[in-house]
Amino acid sequence: MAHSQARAIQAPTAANRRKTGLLNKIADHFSRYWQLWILASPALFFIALFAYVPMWGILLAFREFNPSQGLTGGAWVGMKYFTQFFHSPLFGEIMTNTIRISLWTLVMGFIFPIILALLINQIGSKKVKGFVQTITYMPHFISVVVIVSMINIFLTPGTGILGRFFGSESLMGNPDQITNVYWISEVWQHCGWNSIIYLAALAGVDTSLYEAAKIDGAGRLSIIRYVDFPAILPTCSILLIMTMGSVLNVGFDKIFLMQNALNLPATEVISTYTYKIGILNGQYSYSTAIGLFNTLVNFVFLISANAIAKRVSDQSIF
Amino acid sequence: MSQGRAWKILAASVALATIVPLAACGNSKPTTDSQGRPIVNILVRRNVTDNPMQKTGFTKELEAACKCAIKWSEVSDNAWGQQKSAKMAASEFPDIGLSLFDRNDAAKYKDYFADFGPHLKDMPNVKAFFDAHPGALKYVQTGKKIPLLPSDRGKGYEVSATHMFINKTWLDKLGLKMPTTWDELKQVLEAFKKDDPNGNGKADEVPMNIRGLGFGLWSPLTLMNSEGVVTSFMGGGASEQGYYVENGKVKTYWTSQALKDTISYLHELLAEGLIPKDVLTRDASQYQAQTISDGKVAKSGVTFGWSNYSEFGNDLAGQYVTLPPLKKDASTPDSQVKWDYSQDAARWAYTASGVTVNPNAANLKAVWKVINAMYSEKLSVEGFYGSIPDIVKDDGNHQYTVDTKKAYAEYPDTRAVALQDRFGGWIRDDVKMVGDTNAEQVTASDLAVRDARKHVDGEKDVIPIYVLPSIDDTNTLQNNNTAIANYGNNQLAKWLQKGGIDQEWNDYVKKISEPSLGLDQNIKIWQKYYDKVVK
Amino acid sequence: MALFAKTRTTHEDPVMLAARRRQHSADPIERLMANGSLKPKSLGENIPFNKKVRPSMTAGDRTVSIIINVILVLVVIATLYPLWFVVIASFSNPTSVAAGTVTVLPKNVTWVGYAKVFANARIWRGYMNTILYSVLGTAVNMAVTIPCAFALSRREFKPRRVILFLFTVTMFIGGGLIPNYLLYKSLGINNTMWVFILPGAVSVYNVIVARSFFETSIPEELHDAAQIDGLSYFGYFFRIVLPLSSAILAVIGLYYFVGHWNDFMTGLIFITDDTKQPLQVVLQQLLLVAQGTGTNVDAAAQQQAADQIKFGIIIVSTAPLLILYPFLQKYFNKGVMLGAVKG
Repeated sequence: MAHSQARAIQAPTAANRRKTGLLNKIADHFSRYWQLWILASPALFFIALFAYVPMWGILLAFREFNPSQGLTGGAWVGMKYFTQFFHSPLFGEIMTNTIRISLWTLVMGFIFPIILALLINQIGSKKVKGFVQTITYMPHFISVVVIVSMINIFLTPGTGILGRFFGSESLMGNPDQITNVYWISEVWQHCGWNSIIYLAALAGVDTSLYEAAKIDGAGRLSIIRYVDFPAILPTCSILLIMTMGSVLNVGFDKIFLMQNALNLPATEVISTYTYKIGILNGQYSYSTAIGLFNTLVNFVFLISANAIAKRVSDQSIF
Repeated sequence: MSQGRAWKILAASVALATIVPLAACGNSKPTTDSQGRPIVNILVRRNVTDNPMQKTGFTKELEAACKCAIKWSEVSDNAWGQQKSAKMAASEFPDIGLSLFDRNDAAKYKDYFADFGPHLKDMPNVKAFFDAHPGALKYVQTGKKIPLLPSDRGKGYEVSATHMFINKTWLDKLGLKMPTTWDELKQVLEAFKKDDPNGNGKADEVPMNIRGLGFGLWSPLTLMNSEGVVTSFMGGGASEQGYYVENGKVKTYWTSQALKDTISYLHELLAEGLIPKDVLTRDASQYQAQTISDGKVAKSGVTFGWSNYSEFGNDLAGQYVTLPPLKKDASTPDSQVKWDYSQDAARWAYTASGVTVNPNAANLKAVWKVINAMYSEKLSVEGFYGSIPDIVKDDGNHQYTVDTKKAYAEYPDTRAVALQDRFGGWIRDDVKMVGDTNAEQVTASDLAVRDARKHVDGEKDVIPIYVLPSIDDTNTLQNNNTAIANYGNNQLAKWLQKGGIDQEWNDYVKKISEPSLGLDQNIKIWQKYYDKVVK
Repeated sequence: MALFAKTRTTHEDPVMLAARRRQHSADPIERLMANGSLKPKSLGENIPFNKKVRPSMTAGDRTVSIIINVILVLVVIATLYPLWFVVIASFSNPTSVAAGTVTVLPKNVTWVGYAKVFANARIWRGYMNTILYSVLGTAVNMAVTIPCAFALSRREFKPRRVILFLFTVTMFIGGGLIPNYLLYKSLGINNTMWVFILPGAVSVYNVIVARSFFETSIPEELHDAAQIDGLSYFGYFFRIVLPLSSAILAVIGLYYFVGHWNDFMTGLIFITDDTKQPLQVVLQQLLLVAQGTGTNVDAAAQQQAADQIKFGIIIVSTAPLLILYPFLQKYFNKGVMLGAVKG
């Protein structure tokens, strides 16, 4: 809808120029927008150099790694490593675990920062607001190693500050609970940090809207619902689209440190498997292939999410 | 932001992006120093940077011996782990690498590693080392080529890497004898639990403490030796992957009766509260909290570890002695009681990496001289323990005394002042080291298992660590083992925690032997290489 | 889009005419304010639910208010406790920490961990390096990211969809470590401070976040007014958009700064000269050497020391970041005037 309108407006000028050819079109484009190109050019340069130039490295997934013949000088093996991964006896388990853990983390990690931001925005006093926000974002800076240590210590049956409520066996050893331990600790650690962007969006809300709403007799909840929430909605959708692009990503460090023999059936994910098989044993081609597969699935998810978002709302990445 | 400032930043960043890379290009390193001496670059994987090797007396002596200038670089363990593949791809190799590459690297990327074989004549010290220890040569030789050199930290380290400790003070206090069988051990543990052996009136004793299950260092699965199934839980050989040999036939622990018995026994102990219920889930620091305790009141009865000092700290170590290997039951003949056969790995292959040389080094002649000097008696001692006379005193007659105050000022070993276990060198058997605390302690801890270890035939009962499959086979082994361990480790853990091994064992054996997991394939691979090397 | 279409047809709007008449005013924002497009910044008493307004709250609102406060208190406690735990664990006896006896107050206080950290002179150089890389890096990041995000936020700039697509691809597909290493090597930035700054000069994520902010929070009317005033894109961007975007600039700046501050892998992989290592790497090295290797003497006691350092280095590396919030808050409040145009 929006597109057709925009096109309609530009239609007359476009018709005039139709005959003048591609070259003129380009010249015209640059004469109008050269300043935008200049503003974008440093970023374009950096992306081209540091993201696109090294991209030939993905060829490694289709070749044997042989550094002495250059990185991609090894024998061409085609889809060998992809097939090997799909036929691995652990393939099913790894995929299920990865998707389960990451979906929980994604969904919860998406919702909670929004709620927290809306709540923090309700605080009247500037000092209290600052305090709450500082406290909630600090855990973001704790290293994974320490986080996992703390989880272990807190969940120790009997003596741990949380473990004493969960019987004689630690939740860390329970394959059914480990996903919850994972996403709750993730949300705990990053919720405050991730709410910052929403608070920035809320800072832009027109205060007269609050007054208008109050004059209309809106209660506090309706103000949150009808004033605050719409203000952060665009940010939410963009972040949600980007989140969808990490469906198969479960960060390596934390889950690896949380692994133990008891919870292994629920915690072996793509990244830990790649580590055990690839890095430890120097099978670079194999791990590159798994990484590429991972990437492609994520990218498909992102593109779908983007397409859906484009259709149902005005917000999309591209 | 004002307009002017924003512009400036933008302009500066664009300028920066284009100029900097160009400016920094192209500088080839000189190959001789200002005095015309050839330069030899050495890169060592080492975690200390406060005392760089460059400044040590050891380096000066090396330089004098090779008539060259030595340039050290140091890289930390985790940095090297990240950089290794990239540096190899970029062909950034030091002239001499210490502790950087292992046997698999050497086998995979042959062109990157110079062959020591033809140059042994330039390095009489290295040749003497191989003559004295043919096993060490076997460990590093791939085909005819010798792509890396192992180091030897001396007979003080010819020990099993795993020992089982028991609190002798508690035994004496309760008037108990050293247990000799699994049943007796259990009775002792029960007494530890209920009779308050540490005398603080609290039931805070941990009768038996373990780190976890697995085929590796300090695993309680070394109890499998009690029924004659030998482990060799160090050095990255077949045993750590779960394979052993019996009468020339390769077998796997995964389906062995010994494993079943050991897990059943451990579960029995855990179920009765003799092993803490959270051993598999707790933080590593919680284990130490129970072994070192507060340094006054001991809390652990029996554990598996390196030496009693390393396990319980200086304050409590005196209470503990090594438990001589147990019999499974009284009917087990003495000759069937074995112990962890890892003394070769502990002595000369323990870092699973060695000394390597870049075949394209600018000054190869000087390189051989440096390495020959490193393997001389005196410089080996200096490389491992510290420079003479700063840290170590040469008493003459092959005896050296470590100045313990200086050497151990920062850490309880010599890693801060010398290369320690990252060195390249050979501590000869006739060298007498005074003040090597680690060796003294671990040797003391090892004495009690030596009889049992004599029952082990180093080639008939274990797959020696020098058996090295080809690259393709190593990959197959690894991929299969990941799948096998994923299933197997979880089963073992469940049985330890919840029991049920008797009912589930047959199903488990069936499932873990399924061709898709590749257990049989792995056994065949190991058999192939075992036969090739041993027969 | 609807907005875009509408504004194109209202060129002769009296408000815009007024704007044209004010062309000689120095500050474009002031100019726009004067013509009524922008209202002055809201003052404290206009912000809802402050002391003056509270008495007029209904019973329902009061309940909601109580619930909100209770939830916030719980959130703060749930967050504060583990933070507090890190603090007390950093100077309690590690054995007590592991045994679970350290809960509310430190126990068997020992400063060994901190002593080990600060005995090391390299810590200070690490701090200096990290500050340098973070400040310079963030400056480059902002200078590259924000103009690009602005350009990509202009709906009439057609190539933006292709550019954004190509940007997004790079969030997923990378060459991996080895090609990057070879590239940096040929650029000559390995083992220099530029390796911290240049390869990560653009974070696509931040470009997208900033772009979406420009798209949704800067009213299109401003662009029209600016065009009528004869402002080019440069003028519009620097004189109108930037001053109105302090909240998002603060957030993106914070993201970049913290990213640099916590950057551990770059130093680990690409820096070989010890004097150039950032704080995070120095601290990790300390931890690593304290741990020792398994078959060294007294391994358990070392592990204990390492356990204590583990908590201590969090404090050492994070404390400077505590000052970030006041900075942030200042810019958040500046953004309040923004929405005024829409009303």
